This record gives sequence, C-alpha cells and structure tokens, in this order.
Amino acid sequence: MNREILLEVNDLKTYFYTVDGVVPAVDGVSFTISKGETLGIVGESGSGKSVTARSIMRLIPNPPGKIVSGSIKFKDEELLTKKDSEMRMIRGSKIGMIFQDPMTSLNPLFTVGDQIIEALCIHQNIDKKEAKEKAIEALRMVGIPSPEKRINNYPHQMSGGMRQRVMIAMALVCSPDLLIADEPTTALDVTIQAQILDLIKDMKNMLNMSVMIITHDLGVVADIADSVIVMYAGKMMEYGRAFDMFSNPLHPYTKGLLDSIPTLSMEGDRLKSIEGSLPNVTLDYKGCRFADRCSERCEKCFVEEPPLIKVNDSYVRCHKYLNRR
Amino acid sequence: MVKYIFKRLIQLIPVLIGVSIAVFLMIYLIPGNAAEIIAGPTATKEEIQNITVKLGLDKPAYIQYLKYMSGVLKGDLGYSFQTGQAVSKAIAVRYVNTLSLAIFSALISIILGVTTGIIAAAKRNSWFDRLCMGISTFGISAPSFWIGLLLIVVFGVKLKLLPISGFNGKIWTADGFIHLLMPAITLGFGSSAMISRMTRSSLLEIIHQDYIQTARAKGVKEKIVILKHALKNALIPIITIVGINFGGLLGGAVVVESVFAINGIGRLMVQAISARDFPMIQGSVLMVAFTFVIINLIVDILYAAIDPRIQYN
Ligand SMILES: Nc1ncnc2c1ncn2[C@@H]1O[C@H](COP(=O)(O)OP(=O)(O)OP(=O)(O)O)[C@@H](O)[C@H]1O
Ligand SMILES: [Mg+2]
Repeated sequence: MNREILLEVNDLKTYFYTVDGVVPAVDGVSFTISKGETLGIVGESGSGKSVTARSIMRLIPNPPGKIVSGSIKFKDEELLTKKDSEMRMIRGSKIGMIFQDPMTSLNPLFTVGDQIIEALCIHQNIDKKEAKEKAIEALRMVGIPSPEKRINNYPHQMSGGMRQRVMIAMALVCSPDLLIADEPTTALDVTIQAQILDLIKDMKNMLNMSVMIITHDLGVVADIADSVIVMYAGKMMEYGRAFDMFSNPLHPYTKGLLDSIPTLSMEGDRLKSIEGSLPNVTLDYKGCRFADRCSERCEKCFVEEPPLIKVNDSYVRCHKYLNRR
Repeated sequence: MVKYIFKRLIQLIPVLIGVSIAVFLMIYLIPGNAAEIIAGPTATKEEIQNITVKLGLDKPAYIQYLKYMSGVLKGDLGYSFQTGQAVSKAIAVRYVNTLSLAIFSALISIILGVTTGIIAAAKRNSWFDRLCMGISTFGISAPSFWIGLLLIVVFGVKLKLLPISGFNGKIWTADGFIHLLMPAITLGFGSSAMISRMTRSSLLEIIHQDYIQTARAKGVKEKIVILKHALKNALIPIITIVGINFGGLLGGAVVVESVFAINGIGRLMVQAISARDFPMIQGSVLMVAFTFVIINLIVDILYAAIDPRIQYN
C-alpha cells in the first residue's frame, strides 16, 4: 500500500459524558485510508464503529459527545481544527456518507429528487435545472429505472433497496473522495444486500474513490475490503490487510469472529460463538478489554492493557505477541 | 390533492347533518316551552295555542327540523324571540367580531409559540429555554380572565398604552387592530404556551431521526436542518395543537369578550341562553359548530399538503 494517503486518523479518542460517567466509545484509534482503498471496520454492536465514522464527519452530538484528542487528516488537512462552516463544505462534497436504515434515512416529506438536488446546490454553483439533470443522472448511475419519473417520488413510494440506492446517489452526487458506509446492507434482504455491495464496488471503481465500510458481516469484508480493522469496546484489536486477516487471524477475538461464521461443511454442528458481552468500559479500565471472554488470556491480561503490536504487516493488541516482536 | 379535498368535503355532509340535528334537538333539552316564552307570563291558553300553531310547534319534530333546515340553507335562521330581529343578521356582526378575535389571537399564538419553541429546542437547556418553559407553564395554568385583567391594569390603566374596550368591529383598521390587541394577547397566551411546548418537544424528538443526520452529512447548515428538515416534520403535531386550540379560542372568547366588552358571539349566546331565545341559541351554536367543522377540514387539508403519505392511506 504505497499509494497516496487520503485519510489519516491518529489516536482518535471520542468520549461521551453521560450521567453514568464517561464512556470512551472510541479510545485511541489510528488508521489510514489510501486513495482507492476500501477499509472495512468490523466489531460487535456498541464497539464504537459508528462513533468512529461520525467523528470523521465531525457529527458527534455535543453534548454528550466530544472528540477529546487525536488527529484526523483528510487530504493533508486537519479536520479537527476546522470551523463548522469549513466542515460543512467537506461533508457531502468531499466525504459522502450512507447509513444503515434506508427506511428512515431519507426525509419522508421531500421528494428524493429534492433531497439530491439539495446536496448539489449546497456544494456546486449550479441552477435548479442543471441540478435536476445531474440528480436524474445520479439516479440512473445507481441503477434506478426511469429516473426522470422516480425523481418526483417520495421515499415511501420506493422499496428499501431503492431507497438505499437513492442514499448512495445522494452521497455520491458531488463525486466525493471518500464514501463512508455505516452498515449499508444490514437492514436489507440478502439478495438486495449483494446488489447494494456490488453497486458500491462499481461506484468506487467508476469514481475512483476510497471507501470506509462498517459492518458486522465478515462476508461483506471478505467481499469488498482491502484492509480491515477489528474493533472491540472502543479499541482497535487488529488492523491489517483483509487477506492476511482471513488467512491468518492474530487476535483471539478475530479468531472467534471467524469461527462464528457458519460454513456448509459444519452441517449438524452447533455454531460457535464468543461467550459473554462487551464490558462496561470506564476511563480507569485496567487490562485488556477482551480478557473476560478470551480463551487465551493470562493473568497479565487483567492488569495491563496490551499495546498495539506489529506482527508481519498487521497490528494486533494482544500480550501473546509481545515477546515475539 | 384536489381529489382529496373533494373527498373530504363530501365526507363533511353527514357530519354537518348530524351537527344540525344535535343543535335542533338541543331545544328539547332546555326546560320551558317556546310558545309560552314568546307569549309572556300573562298570556291566555288560546294565545299560546295560536303561537304554537304559528311557529309550527304542533307538527312532528322531523317536520319542524326539515322546515328549519330549509330555512338554514337559504340563510334564514329564524327570528329572535326577544327582539324579533332576524337571527342571521344579529349573528353576522357578532360572528365577525369573534372570528376576528379568534384568528388574531391564533396568529399571535402561532407566531409566538412556534418561534419560541424553535429557539428553545435549538438552544436546549439554555437560559432562554428555561425562561420559555417557565413562562409557558404559567401561561397554560393562568386563567385568561385573570391575564386579561392584569393586562388591563398594566397597559390600559397604569401605562395608558392600549384601549381597554370599544372595539369597532373592523380588525383591518388601525383603530380596530389596537382595540383587539390586548384581548387577542389575553386569549392567545395560553394557546401560545401550548404551541411553544409542542413545537419544542416535537422538534427535539425529530432531531434524533436518521434523516436529520443524513441532512447534516450532506453539509446542510444547522439552521436549515432545523427550519426545513426538522420543522416540516414537526408541523403535524403543531398543526393538530393549533387546530384544537382554535376551538378553545372560540370557547375562551366568551370570557375575554366579557372582560373587554366586545360584542361577540360568545356574549350573544350567554344572553340568548338566559333569555331562552331558542332561535338565537340554535343559530349561534350552529354557527360555532360549523366553524369547528371547517377548522377540522382545514387541519386535514394541511396535513395532506405537508405529508405526502397521508393522501395514500
Ligand atoms: N449519543 C450518545 N450518547 C451516549 N453514548 C453514546 C452515544 N452514541 C454512542 N454512544 C456510546 O458509544 C458506544 C459505541 O457506539 P457505536 O454507535 O459507535 O457502536 P457501533 O459499533 O456502531 O454499534 P452498532 O453495530 O450497534 O451500530 C455505545 O456503546 C454507546 O455507549
Ligand atoms: Mg453503528
């Protein structure tokens, strides 16, 4: 991966200050996305994937959330020090974002055309007529039939898959450099999921952009991602090339995730799963966050947080690899 | 849309018939016989009988109803027992006064309620928010006659800024406007408090919807996010409250009309009821009920105009 770096996130910490105390939802996450690269972020519910994505967009609700430290460099510019007005020029134009639930992600009271045109008019100096043509073109590009009619539809007149296509058209209408897709297929039927993933791949190649895709589904990662981050309770547990991770998972949690994918050959066997659930993490949390559920834990895991260790081309946060450095 | 409005208008017909029957039957609930009342306490049996026949009161109720309704459709609401004046004429003037007052105070309460609600929601937990919510608690609980008297004392008597009575019936003139200002504020205060709370709470709820996040992710300015994307969605509950409150404004007008000596339909009804002036009672109740029905219609049409999903189910 010697290509030009588009996004560089360094030691990002996003905390939520709730009545029950401080929640370190994202706690020291670092990664890069090169031009044309697709990064997958996996991890179970509540591990901080969406918060990572929203931190990049600077869309963390404050209060209760706050990006407490770190740096997010996009095209060599620091996003964390940008003014709101400057950030708005990046959102929707240089970084597009799509969300999990297409049924609720579009405003029910405006036509899909109006919603796409709005994005165009914010970022480009064009008149309504031109914007409308571009919107129709965008709808055609994401595979919506007779877009010149569909543009006047309201979201409720479309199916879930169609709406997700509209979301993609809206996110891509200004040809962003980066698309952040937060579980774009989770809410869809399996057949539609594959179509949407293919669409994202096609769009990526066509617009020559980078993609950050968040998912629970390792199948999605295998299908689309060049590199992967495995997150757990706000921490990066493993980070490396997708191929490496699937052929040689390092972290016990990653292994557990891979083992819990059902395969045809295991017919009759029970599906393996990782016992337990995410710990309630506080600021003074000691030790490895996965220790409770880890099958390879040792005493040290409960007292000392493992650092991120480089193994071959990957990074892993586990004491197991410490002496092998 | 036109089809929808037409459908709603057709649906109104049975409602209006029901309302008119209810209004007509109301007379039978009030003790006292119309003919006796007209004839006066010293009348003989024959005189009463003559009047009964003249008014058609000896006919079966449905004949009387049909006769009354055929008059109503021609704009004839009968004649006052008290003054002999045509009811429609007496009501017309008063109705315009009351409607002016109700619409004026509705406008005040919408403008005041929606703007304070928006600001309170946008700056949640700020001093402005707390102040607004404090005042609105007060506004919802304080009775309007008391607020009216308070305003009269402060702005009318002490500061001598606004006239305390003497509305000329013409809201569109400067003089009429000034005379109606204090009554309209009095009447609209409680309503604006409710609208403010409703605006705030529905905005706060909608701001957490996914599509608001989508709008922000597109780079939409926060102001536009709230005023366009969120507010339009919040309008449905707001309009519901405005509609309900408008009915309340008509009812509340009775009190405020008395406080500010406005010649409105509220006062007319009170007088008519105490005099058992049946045609007058029927006419004014019918008019107010009709207004309610129309308000409901307007509210329904607004729903459909705002939310494209409504016409389809
Ligand atoms: N608005 C908020 N207020 C308080 N805490 C929050 C808020 N948003 C997120 N969090 C905290 O951040 C943690 C991570 O949330 P996040 O949405 O990033 O999870 P996720 O990995 O995207 O999970 P999912 O797969 O369910 O989408 C949550 O456990 C939650 O405690
Ligand atoms: Mg999420």
